[in-house]
Amino acid sequence: MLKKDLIELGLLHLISQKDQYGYELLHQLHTAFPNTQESAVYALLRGLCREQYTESYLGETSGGPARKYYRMTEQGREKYTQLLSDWQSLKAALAALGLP
Amino acid sequence: MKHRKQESWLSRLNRAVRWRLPPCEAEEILSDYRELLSEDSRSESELFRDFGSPEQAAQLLSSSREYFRWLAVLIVLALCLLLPVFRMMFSSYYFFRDSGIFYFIRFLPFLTGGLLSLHWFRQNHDNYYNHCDQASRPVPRKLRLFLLVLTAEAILAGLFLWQFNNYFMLNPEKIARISRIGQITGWVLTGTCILSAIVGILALYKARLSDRRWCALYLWALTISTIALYIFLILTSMSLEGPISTIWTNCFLHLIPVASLGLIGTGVLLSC
Repeated sequence: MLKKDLIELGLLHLISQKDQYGYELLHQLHTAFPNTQESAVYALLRGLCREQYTESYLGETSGGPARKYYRMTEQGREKYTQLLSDWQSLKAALAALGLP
Repeated sequence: MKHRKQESWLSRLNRAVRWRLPPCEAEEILSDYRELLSEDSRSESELFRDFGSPEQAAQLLSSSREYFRWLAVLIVLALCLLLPVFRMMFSSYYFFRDSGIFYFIRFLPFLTGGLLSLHWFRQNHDNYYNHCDQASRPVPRKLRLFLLVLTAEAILAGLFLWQFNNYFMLNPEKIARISRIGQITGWVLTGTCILSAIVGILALYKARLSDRRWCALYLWALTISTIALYIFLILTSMSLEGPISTIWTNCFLHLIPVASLGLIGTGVLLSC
């Protein structure tokens, strides 16, 4: 599992909890992966949209301009389950090696 | 101040994404970045730290395959403009054949450049321009100006050569000056070709970065340089068959389809 997959898992996890807008997603991911540039996270977010794992829509905001929100699609849910299972297998494999 | 710093980062990103990506995709990315950056006011150094350079950001978003495809198209289109210039600059007298495959080969750069530019920019129109149709906007003023300047230059060069030719025909006693006349004619034609090449390459750059209708200027420049090359080839030919008036009549007959195709292509690219 690559770092890219982990970031995708993070993005899908956040979007699976509630629809979120770009800045919110990038900010959280950048906090979790400080060594990863936000442009790389944005590129992965766009990739997820292009692969139709997520879709975007313009959401209303109070006062300010409309924001672009991301929500998960059915395909995205499958991808999320697959990535999560990969991550859990990896964690289990590392735990078996005695890693805390 | 911070806002201005963001603007400079955004304007670099604007150029980078428009160069690497199809127009509508670039537009969407720029709108996303504007939204992202409007949420807080980071300084330019913070933007470089958090997002990297705009060029890196654009590279991350583009597919290498698609980008190299665009570069290959750009190289072929530029070569179609540069080949006539090289042909003129490094030419010597030769035996001119104006029929069959020779006729076709002479116009190969024109046909390749014309068809490829029409296909590439029209194809992009069909695939990517659905949501950001530029044709509804008026033709850029600078583009109209460039078209006008290039046409005026070509007409002036043509008139100049016509006058030169007439002067020589009407004053056979000036035959001693023929080499000087030939040299000046060569300079005018080569100059026209070089100017067309420069303007055409600039037009390709603008067509990619701002408005694809700039490609019309490329096609018009290619048409003018093809016509200039054809006249140059006739003048440097060592195998003049028949009286000179017949050669010029044939020349015009051959150039009419080129000029017509160039005009139609330019019109199509301006209007689509």
